[in-house]
Amino acid sequence: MTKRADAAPLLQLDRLRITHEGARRATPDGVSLTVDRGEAVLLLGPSGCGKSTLALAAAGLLPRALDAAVEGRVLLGGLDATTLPAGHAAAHVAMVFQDPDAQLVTSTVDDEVAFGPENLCLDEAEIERRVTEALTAVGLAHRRRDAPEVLSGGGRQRLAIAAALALGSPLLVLDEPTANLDPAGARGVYDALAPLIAGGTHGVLLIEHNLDEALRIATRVVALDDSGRIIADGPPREVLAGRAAELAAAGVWLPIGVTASRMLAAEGVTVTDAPLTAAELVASLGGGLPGRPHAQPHPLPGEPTPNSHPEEPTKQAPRGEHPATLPLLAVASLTVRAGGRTLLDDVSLTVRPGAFTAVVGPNGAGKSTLLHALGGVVRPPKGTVFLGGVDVAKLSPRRLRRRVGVVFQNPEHQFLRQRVRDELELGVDAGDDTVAARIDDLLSRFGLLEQGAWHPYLLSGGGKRRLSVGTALVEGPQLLVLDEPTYGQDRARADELLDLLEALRRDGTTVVMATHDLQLVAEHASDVVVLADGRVEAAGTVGEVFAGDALDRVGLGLPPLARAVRAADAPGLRGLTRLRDAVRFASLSRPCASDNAGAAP
Amino acid sequence: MQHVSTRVLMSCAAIGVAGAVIFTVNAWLGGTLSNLLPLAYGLTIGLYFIPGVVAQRLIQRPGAGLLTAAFAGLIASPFQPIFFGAFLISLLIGVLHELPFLIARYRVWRPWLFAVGSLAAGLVTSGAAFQLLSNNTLGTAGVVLAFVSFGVSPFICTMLALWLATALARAGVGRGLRPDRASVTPAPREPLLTEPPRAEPVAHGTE
Amino acid sequence: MRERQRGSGPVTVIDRPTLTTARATRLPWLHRVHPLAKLVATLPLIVAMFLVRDLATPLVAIAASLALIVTGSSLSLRSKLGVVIGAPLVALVLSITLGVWADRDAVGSTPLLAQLGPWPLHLAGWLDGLETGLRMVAIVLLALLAGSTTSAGDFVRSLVQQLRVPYRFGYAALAAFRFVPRFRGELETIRRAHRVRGIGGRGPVAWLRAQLSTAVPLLAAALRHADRVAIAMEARAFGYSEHRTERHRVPLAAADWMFAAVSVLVTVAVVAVAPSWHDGVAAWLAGLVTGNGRS
Ligand SMILES: Nc1ncnc2c1ncn2[C@@H]1O[C@H](COP(=O)(O)OP(=O)(O)OP(=O)(O)O)[C@@H](O)[C@H]1O
Ligand SMILES: Nc1ncnc2c1ncn2[C@@H]1O[C@H](COP(=O)(O)OP(=O)(O)OP(=O)(O)O)[C@@H](O)[C@H]1O
Ligand SMILES: [Mg+2]
Ligand SMILES: [Mg+2]
Repeated sequence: MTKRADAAPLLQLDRLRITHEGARRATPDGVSLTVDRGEAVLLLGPSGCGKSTLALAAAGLLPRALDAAVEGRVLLGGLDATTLPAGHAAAHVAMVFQDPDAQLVTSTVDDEVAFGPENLCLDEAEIERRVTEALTAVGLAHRRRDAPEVLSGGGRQRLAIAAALALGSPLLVLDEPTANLDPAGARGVYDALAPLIAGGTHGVLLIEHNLDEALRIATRVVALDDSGRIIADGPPREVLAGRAAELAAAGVWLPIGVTASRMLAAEGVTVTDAPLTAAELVASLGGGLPGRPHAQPHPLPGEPTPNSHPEEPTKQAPRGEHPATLPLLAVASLTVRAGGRTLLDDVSLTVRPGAFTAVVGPNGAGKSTLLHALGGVVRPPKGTVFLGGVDVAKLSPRRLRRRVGVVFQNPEHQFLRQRVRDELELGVDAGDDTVAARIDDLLSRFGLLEQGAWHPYLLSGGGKRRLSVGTALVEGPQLLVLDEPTYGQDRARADELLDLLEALRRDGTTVVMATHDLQLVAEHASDVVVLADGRVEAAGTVGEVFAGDALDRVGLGLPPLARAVRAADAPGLRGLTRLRDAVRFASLSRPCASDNAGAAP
Repeated sequence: MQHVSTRVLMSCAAIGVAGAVIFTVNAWLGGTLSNLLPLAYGLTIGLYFIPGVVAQRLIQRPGAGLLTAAFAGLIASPFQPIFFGAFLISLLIGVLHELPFLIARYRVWRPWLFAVGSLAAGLVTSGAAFQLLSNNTLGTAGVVLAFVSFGVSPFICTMLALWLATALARAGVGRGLRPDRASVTPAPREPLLTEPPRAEPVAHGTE
Repeated sequence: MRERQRGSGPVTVIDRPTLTTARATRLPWLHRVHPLAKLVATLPLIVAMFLVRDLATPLVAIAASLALIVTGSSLSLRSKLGVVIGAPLVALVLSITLGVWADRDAVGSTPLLAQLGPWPLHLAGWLDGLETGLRMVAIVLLALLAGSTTSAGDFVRSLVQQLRVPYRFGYAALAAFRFVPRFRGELETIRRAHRVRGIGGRGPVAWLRAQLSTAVPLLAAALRHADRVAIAMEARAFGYSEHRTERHRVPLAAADWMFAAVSVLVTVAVVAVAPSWHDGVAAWLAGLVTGNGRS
């Protein structure tokens, strides 16, 4: 814009402190950073540390968008953002949000991209030029006349990026742009972003949990701790590998390579080349294990596992049961139609008691539909879903609830009462005098004892999630069905939830869970069902399915580690999908490892 | 009303659409009812009052009721048997929402004023309904039925809407939409206006 | 929390063809008339339906709207047939359900047409019910003729372009159209989630309770979504200036003025003349039903 704007950095935050209305502390608290052309700054931090708030401030939206007191300065191209009138910041900075549907305003792709330039009162020829340019940049030029809703999730998010680019601002702020997307969609988004950084035309401030993708473009990493202060700032490798312990303590997601290094360190193995991505990890493992002949994807039964997971979910049925027991859940030719479409097409599968079954598939594959049928949320046709040999369609709602607990993706949808306690009491037989004790027990188990009298909506995101799981567990069901429960959670909360599920499983609860996080599936699930277009593309143990090509076929691709293994073509690592296996291989292959193996709890 | 912030604007729209989504379910119910028991159709007319009252109670700003009702009617119109008739009806209802508060110069937002307003609105709707439904020979029972169903349902629905707004407020929803009259922290500026208020003698939030 | 569209069908925002599309592709003529012209054309007659007290005026209004719908809208043949047959049927049903409420003293002297349980239907009551029913049907048809041939987006844009409604209101409305499928999906999910928690049961009270308990999370989600959309819109310079470039114009042509003017004139003529035909129509109808009743 002005001469000054060209000389000054795109974004300068100077000791930025933001205190939300009614909040006791500032989040972020005293953050200074700069972003310039050709830079992509990745901002990390645990949930609630103020990343989104900071992003809004950086986008020049703050005094207007939220009730918050802003201290410190936000300079956009050298201009003070807080003094810019409404809409004027858009010439300097554009923002892309997490939910593509919450930022699309119009009814065609074309109009959507033109929306910003129209607001800026540009003339039609210029708008046309910008729309074409922006759509070409994100690979949507051929979809101009389409309605946004017919694009895939990834397509819509690229559309949002195009809409941001069309504003002509050199700085892009992206707040978890791929959190809603399946892996293929996420990859497409970063494919669109990479050239902008490489070309030196744009600067990016990025908030992202999916580090394996984000590290493709990040030139710098800034990490905040729980209180919203900077704990690390520097080049990605320096911060992520060098300061991993602090980051982990703060509850920040770490790249897979770093997590592996940390696990190895716990085994007494030091990895010197500090791998970040899965590819680097595999490269470093491959170096340590040239052609190791007997690598097994999963430990054999009885083989000691030198890590913190003593139980091997794939091979071991819960105590006291034979692997040959009847399936807990059997689905036979389940077809679901709605609105003239076939959502599930002849789906058959079985779930062993005590299994942890993951349901994966691209957006719209029918995962939620399947879970709803399994949980009896939407009554399946007679004779299609059997729970412990009983037809789910014939169970009364009451009896169904005793057997299956269902956790919806958005916990708020499930809450019915005004207090956390009442929420848990709902559905428990009145008259039962052990109720109070049982509720107290649940509350303390889920860390909600203090908040018993709160309104459920006022809990933190993690608290709401725990409460929603709690409500599903009140009646002690055999089967727990969860729809993308780790979505949008930080590492600490996701781990907490997975630990909880692990504990439930040890007590004999069978778990079925839909998720987009394939690495999570690799690490925690025992079985996996791959859905695409309402059909089962593959089902079986995680090892079997990941070894096949079903994930590639449906466009998901393998989880990062397995993908890297395949790309590296290291014969000794074939079939490796789980971090702890990688760690095990590495520690076994190094001389000092076996000495320390027993040290793990 | 020109200076409403985008946030307030979209909140009104959202309340309106949520209302419209509920209307649409009701439009067909109402359609059937209006054929079988036309004089009791009034019982469903009150539903048109819900979004505006929820918005007024949550947002407590001049124009919120009218805006929300207008949005609700507009958004509902493609799905309604009477199309833009729904929009026009909603506009009129929006005006009815605003009147009592306008008379109170937008200083009172207490439930009793909602109650009084809705009873007055009931008179207007039952008057209009009577104008449409009455003819030379309508019997007393019919007149009473029409008046009661059209006259009472705005009141009932307003009470339901107040309950809803309270439940929402208790859940912390819509916090910060009100012009900060009761805020503990002194707010030096009007946080939700896109531009400084012009020619408005009363500055909110400075108490 | 994530709020991706879920649970519902594909997120399609239904709308009718815009004026520009209609003119470019030569859709039937009502689609090519400016939305405001249609509003101006139909509104006086709609208002008249509240005021007139005779059989002939609503009959003329119904006949005229049916003629316009059949010749001017792109409804499918089946829908047109449905409207043409449905309108008189609805009027007939209304004439009975309204007619039975007539004051017995006033109508008791006229022939009894039918006895519906405890309710007698007399000729005079039926005729009066029919008159009210016809007026209601006329209002719906007049609204239908404007509504079924107008794009909601065009209507909003014409409010901004011709009636000078501030564009921020108009665009808020356009953005809000996209809320509909999302909130519907959300409502469906909430209902499911509540069913899982054992909410439900039979009877009107349980029904009302269920409605209210789904309304709270729906409104909460709606308001949160609104916050996000508002921020996203401001991030894209919404409200930057008093004006904005408008690429989609809804032009008002001379023919639109003509259409509106002629319609208003015809309305005036109909309202002035038609009531005098009332007695004739009533007598003919009375002959029809009582004649049928006797034979
Ligand atoms: N509108 C608001 N009003 C009051 N407090 C808020 C508001 N938005 C956020 N907060 C609070 O401010 C803090 C920072 O929130 P923010 O959304 O910026 O965190 P975040 O780092 O983006 O978290 P996440 O990873 O969960 O997205 C949190 O404690 C949050 O509860
Ligand atoms: N009631 C319905 N009527 C019509 N279509 C529906 C209905 N419910 C879902 N769909 C469609 O069925 C498909 C499968 O939906 P579902 O929610 O099960 O997918 P999913 O695999 O859970 O996707 P995501 O990863 O986005 O959560 C989607 O395209 C959805 O739009
Ligand atoms: Mg955030
Ligand atoms: Mg889903």
